[in-house]
Amino acid sequence: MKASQQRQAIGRWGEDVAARYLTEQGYTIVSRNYRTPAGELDIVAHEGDSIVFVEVKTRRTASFGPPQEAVTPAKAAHIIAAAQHYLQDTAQIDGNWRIDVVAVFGSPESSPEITLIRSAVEAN
Amino acid sequence: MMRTSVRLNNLAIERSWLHRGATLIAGTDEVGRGAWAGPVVAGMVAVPRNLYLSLPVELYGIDDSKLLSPIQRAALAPLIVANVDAWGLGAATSREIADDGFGAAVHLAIWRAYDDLSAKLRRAPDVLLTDAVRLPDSPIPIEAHAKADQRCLSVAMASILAKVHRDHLMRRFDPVYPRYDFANNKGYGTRKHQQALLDFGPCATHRRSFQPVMRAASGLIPSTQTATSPTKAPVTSREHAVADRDRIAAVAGSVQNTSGPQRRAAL
Repeated sequence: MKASQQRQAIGRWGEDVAARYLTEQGYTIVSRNYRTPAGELDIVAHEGDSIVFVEVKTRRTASFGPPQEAVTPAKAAHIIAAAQHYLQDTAQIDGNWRIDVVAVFGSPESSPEITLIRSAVEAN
Repeated sequence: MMRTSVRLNNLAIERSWLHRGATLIAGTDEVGRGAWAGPVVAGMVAVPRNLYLSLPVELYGIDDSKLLSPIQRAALAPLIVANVDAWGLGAATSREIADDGFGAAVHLAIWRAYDDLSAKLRRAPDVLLTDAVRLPDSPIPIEAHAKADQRCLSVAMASILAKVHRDHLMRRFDPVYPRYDFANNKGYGTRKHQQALLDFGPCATHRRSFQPVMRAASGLIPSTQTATSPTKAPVTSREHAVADRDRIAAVAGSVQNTSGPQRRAAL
């Protein structure tokens, strides 16, 4: 497996773990890997009356490699823009929405550590 | 099945300033309070405006830089530098500590870090979060919290940068003053350091205003009876309360008479 494929596999695994965790936390998963012209949304969920756009960050435990998963300011802007696309696509532009981040720390071989950060991002 | 044990160092205080309209929020922390030699170093970090989104997962849980190993800190420092909006470093020398007093030297180090960060950005931060340091005559708002490194990720990140930088400086001092083992003790009080002080007296980078250094400089063999407070206390009790990282060293200084300086965990 090439390094880029491996990274994708880990990212995919992290999104699975995050989705399960969010469900346990009472979120309803609405969509995964929702594509918009501005980029992809990892997970779209409902919690209460809010639409939550969840960015999943996955990292192997104790790997201090190059910050390949770090979100650059440009990518951060994409996530907010993608969220706005979703809201327009689904005609929910007036609803409550926020962006959460789920950090998944670990690997498929071990029990992952998960951190959920509600309203992790300032959208303005 | 799954644990949620990655502790989250909150950006809530930083976020509240964002809500109040600030766009550049910096945290600062200083290291080297309890050291017998070397500078006090301040780090400063401006958090990304989108908060967690720009930060890699490794940085989420960090709080107390002293609880991290040197290898962990060295690995985190480049991640911090690469992912924050801006960072700066500043130091005040042992001479400045002796001349101005410790509190003023801390302020000096912080203002130098502030100047460094501001010069890189060509603007000053809108607000500065500190670990219980109240900075008089500040041009920008200061929010001081005890244990801010555990509450403000910006302060925790600043602390790591400061510590990595100070360790680097102390390793550079080592070949200049090879008798004191600075590469290993980083200027803090170890048994070896204490012995070298007694054998050779203090060097130029020793803090002559600090009690163990003063005693060595005046040729006194420390004992419970002769240990009296210096005219200028090295750190005030208030500073002790907020400077956890130095409590070990401070304790080492005060109990050396009976058991010798306690061995400080390798920095």
